[in-house]
Amino acid sequence: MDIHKFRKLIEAYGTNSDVWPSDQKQSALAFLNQSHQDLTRVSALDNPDASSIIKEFELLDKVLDADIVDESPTLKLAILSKIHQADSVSYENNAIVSADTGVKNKQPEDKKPGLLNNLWDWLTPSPLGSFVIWRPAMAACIPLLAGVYLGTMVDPLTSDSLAEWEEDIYVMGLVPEFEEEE
Amino acid sequence: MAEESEAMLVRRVVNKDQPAFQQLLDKHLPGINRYVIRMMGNASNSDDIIQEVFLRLWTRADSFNPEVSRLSTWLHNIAHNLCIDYFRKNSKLTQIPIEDTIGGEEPDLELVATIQRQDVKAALMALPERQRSAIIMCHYQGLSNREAAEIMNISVDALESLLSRGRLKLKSILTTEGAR
Repeated sequence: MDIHKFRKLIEAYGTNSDVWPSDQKQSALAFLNQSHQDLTRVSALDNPDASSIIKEFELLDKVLDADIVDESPTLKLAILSKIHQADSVSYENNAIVSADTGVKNKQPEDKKPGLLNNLWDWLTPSPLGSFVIWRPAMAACIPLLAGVYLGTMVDPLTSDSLAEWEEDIYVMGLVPEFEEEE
Repeated sequence: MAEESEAMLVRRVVNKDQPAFQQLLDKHLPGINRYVIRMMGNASNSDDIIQEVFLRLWTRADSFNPEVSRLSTWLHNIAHNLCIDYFRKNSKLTQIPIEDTIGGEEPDLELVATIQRQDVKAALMALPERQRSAIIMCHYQGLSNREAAEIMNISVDALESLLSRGRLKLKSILTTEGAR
């Protein structure tokens, strides 16, 4: 510790040694060659250069220390009211009340509904009676429509094709049965 | 209140224990109140910020780690960031030029004290917000230089530079007016 470091210390932290950084405090006090018991205010010093620095900043510290901040009497109530509001919003969004324990339990975090869930919700009518019965009716008609469509894709049987079948069956009837090889 | 019991209170706040929250509120509200009001310069702009600090304690207590910092440091960190955000959104209110408010006849001691408090508030508001925050944290709030540097996300050397420049400016403002 030298006069420059000491000045830098007082400029930054002031004359109250209680707020001096712990890693500089002892060396600063040793530099001052302090012999007083009360170390909270360094005023009488053997080092005249250090003494002048202290006196230079002493008045500033006194003025700063004289500043008082009043506390609002309603602030605490306002804070408690705010957390109650925050809890109410959270409860409406997420909480369910257990019938057995009365303890509020949070639902699992809302997950994005899957495609199947969305489709099911869309198809099933709302229990509150909104008239969306056409959705499940339409879903039931889908297999019927698919069947009709597939039927139009298959060629109808003609008399020629029937004759071919009859001939094939006749020929198959003329072929002797294969005897098991002994 | 021992640090260990404070950590236990925060764990109870995570579980929405209101009595635990009120204990922490009773302990830390005065300090946060002083910090925010000195940063903002008046109480009317401060109430919302102070409320938000403790609302975050209520809703985000699970993000506090007692092994990393004290609860006081954590709360000051929130308050500091909220104040800085406020000033960014309201850039005209960052600094208020100091005005000549003292003069004339010799006032009585009580009035001198009142005027001095107004001078200090005005002088603090004349500083850039980072110098102001550094001085408030180190001079008034009892935070160590390491804690203040951590809150401001700067080195201790940078903090000491802010403190020196801020205090020199305060000295030029306040001791000049006090000498009248």
